[in-house]
Amino acid sequence: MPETDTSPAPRRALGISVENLRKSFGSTEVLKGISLEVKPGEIFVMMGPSGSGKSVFLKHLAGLEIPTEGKVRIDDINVADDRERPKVRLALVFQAGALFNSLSVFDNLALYPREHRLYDRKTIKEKVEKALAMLSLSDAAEKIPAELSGGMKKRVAIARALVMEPDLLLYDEPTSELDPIMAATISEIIADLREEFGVTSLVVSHDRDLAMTIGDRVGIMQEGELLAIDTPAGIRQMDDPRIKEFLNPAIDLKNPRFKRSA
Amino acid sequence: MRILHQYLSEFGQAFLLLVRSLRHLPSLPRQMGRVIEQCYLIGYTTFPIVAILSFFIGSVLALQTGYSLQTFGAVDFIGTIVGLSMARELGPVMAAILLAGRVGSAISAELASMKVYQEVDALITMNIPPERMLVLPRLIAVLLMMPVLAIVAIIIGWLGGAVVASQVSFIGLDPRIYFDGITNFVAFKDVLDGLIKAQIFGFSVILISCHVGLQTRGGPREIGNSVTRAVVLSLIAILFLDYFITQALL
Amino acid sequence: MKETLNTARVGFFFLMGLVLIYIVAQSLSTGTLFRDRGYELQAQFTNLQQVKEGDDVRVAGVKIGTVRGTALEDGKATAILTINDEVQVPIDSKARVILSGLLGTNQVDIQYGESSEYLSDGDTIETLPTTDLNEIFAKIGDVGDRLDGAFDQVTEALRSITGDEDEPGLFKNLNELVVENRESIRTTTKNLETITDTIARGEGTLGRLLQDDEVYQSIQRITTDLESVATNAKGFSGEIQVLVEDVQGIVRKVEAGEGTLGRLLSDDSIAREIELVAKNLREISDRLNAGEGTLGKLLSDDALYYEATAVLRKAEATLDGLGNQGPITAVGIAASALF
Repeated sequence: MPETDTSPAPRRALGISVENLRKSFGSTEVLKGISLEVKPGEIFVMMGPSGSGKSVFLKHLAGLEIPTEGKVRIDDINVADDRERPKVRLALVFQAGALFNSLSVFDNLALYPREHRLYDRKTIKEKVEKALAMLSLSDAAEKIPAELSGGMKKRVAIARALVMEPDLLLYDEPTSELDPIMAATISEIIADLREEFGVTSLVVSHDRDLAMTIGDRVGIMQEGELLAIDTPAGIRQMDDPRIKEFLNPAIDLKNPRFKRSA
Repeated sequence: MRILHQYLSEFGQAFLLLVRSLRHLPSLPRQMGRVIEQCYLIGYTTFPIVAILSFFIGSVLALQTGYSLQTFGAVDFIGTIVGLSMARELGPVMAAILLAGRVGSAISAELASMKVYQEVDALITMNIPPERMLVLPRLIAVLLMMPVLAIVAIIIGWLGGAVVASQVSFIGLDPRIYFDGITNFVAFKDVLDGLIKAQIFGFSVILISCHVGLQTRGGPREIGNSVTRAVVLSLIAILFLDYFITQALL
Repeated sequence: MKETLNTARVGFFFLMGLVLIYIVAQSLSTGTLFRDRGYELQAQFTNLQQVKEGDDVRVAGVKIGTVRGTALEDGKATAILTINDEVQVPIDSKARVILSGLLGTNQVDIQYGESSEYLSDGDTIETLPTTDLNEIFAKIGDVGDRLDGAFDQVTEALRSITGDEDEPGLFKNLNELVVENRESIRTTTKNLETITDTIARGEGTLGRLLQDDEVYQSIQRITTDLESVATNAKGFSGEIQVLVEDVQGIVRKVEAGEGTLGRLLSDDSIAREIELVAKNLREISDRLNAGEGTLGKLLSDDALYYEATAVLRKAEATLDGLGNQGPITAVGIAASALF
């Protein structure tokens, strides 16, 4: 990638610190005291079956949910506070893309720099085109999100995150509902982006392959509790039967009820 | 009692949404594009239906008053009655109800779907407050467009009344007498009161629709529920406010 | 491209709204969106009637300003008039409140004075007393009643001359007298000759009455006066009084004439002149038929009839417009009694 001033690049890598995070919706406790640290520039993959609370965890990092108890800090900034959060430039790649349906792909990408008046019109256009090119989306610039396939939507979402030049990239199920080849492509892209810009990345997924291939460290979550944090290699060597279950390819983590079906 | 409490809290939250939106007022000059886009949706596309329906409201008003007044031989006063009713009451209320049905529902559906498909969350993570991008331009647009819709409703209602008053055989009122009745007994203050009313109604409709849309939680099915709620709450607000504004403006 | 088009549409739409609001503001009676430019005059009236803010100020029907407001100052109704700058109002002009529409709208009418000095901003303009519509109604009602009475008397007087089935009138009696007393008449003819000669020459009471157009003209004058009375209620009652008195005078004169005739006829010494009298009388009756003389004109002249009906029609029209049934009935009765 060319190192010109028009290329999307993060300003700095941020660390994440989560302390005893608890969250309840009514009487249901979804997060039961999560504590972890993510180092700057690291790819951290949070794994767990559906309904384990990992998406809620991610929303806390993005400031979309307010903790019932505990603290979430990104580079010493309390993201639960509406006034402080804007100091962190983070990008969240939503599971379904969350593209703005009323805007073209180009406008989706250009929205953030335009709204925050980061660059002049010409620079924004160049940066958006570069981001689109990085994700092989150049032909889709004038399409509207409804015309895109699921994989393209995810790539557009990633491209949009890239244009934001974030200090922190959050991915929510980046490979779900994709065929294995597309899933592998997305995994590569996540790894490449970190390679390229050294951006701290936090991925929430139930995709074992993704977690084990790109994760610097992997956390395993079940029913709102963090079972383990370790490198992929460390995880594989763990004796905990619950963790071994995670790594058993016969079990569908997306639909844990059918785990005996294999 | 619980329903009342529920409605009050809705209106309270809508008010808070207004306060949050107004904080972004300084960003308005940059949002003129969106304001104009919303003006187009709120004003221009609503104009034909408002025009057609107020024509018929004026007509039926002239028909009813003509039918009642002919007993006393007082059909000369149709102009005054239609003029005042359209200006003070029916013009603004009709415009606001059509706004709720046509624009309010569309806004709540759009915002509800943005909320359900996490577009609103995406905006928040981008540090673009939805109030600024989604609510404020609509509120400004309705402030600009509502007086236009209301004056159109009023004037076309007057014309509808004139057509009926002059063409229906048992009334047969000379249009000049009809319009004399309007110009002599309808003060500009009456029209102004109507425009103020329309302004408040329209603003409330859009605010409520935005609020209900952004409050949507859950899956796509909730979008439909939000639209229904937005329209119902808007109509309640219109008729409720109508009484008190009328009282205040008298 | 589409965006620009929409912007243009929105802009057009918004401007249309502003224009419509402006038009409505200017058309409605109290449009005060933009205050009329001009200078202000104050006018104190005894009664402002229904003059309200936004009503017109006119000179001979031409709008020269508007009523900017009304107030009560020292117990007098005061209107503040805004007069267009280009209009100069002489210092001795007079303002009054008049009715301008059937629906009860008023306007302030200014009658220009002669002075070459002009009123300036803040001055007070002189006013004329306000004619109260209700007073006019009441006066017209009175006039109708009086007309009714007057015409009744006229009818009565005429009947006593022409007579009817029950009661033979003057002429019938006269005829019978002549037929029955042909002999004595012939004997008195000679005596009468000199008298009738003087009558024919227009001397004496009866002669003057029959020959002189003066009375006829005075009735006609009354009629013309009535006409002006109908348009201007002022002084009407006085004229009517004159009319009534004049009509009564006619009746008295006729009555006096009858006396003279009676006296004349009972005198034997003039019986031999009766032939000549008969001849003269025939002449008189011919003239009556031909419409000469006062009575003749009264009986046969259509002009008088038309004059009277025109007056009545005017009065009726006025009353019709006012929707007051009372006076109309009175005038209607008067008309049918006369004709």
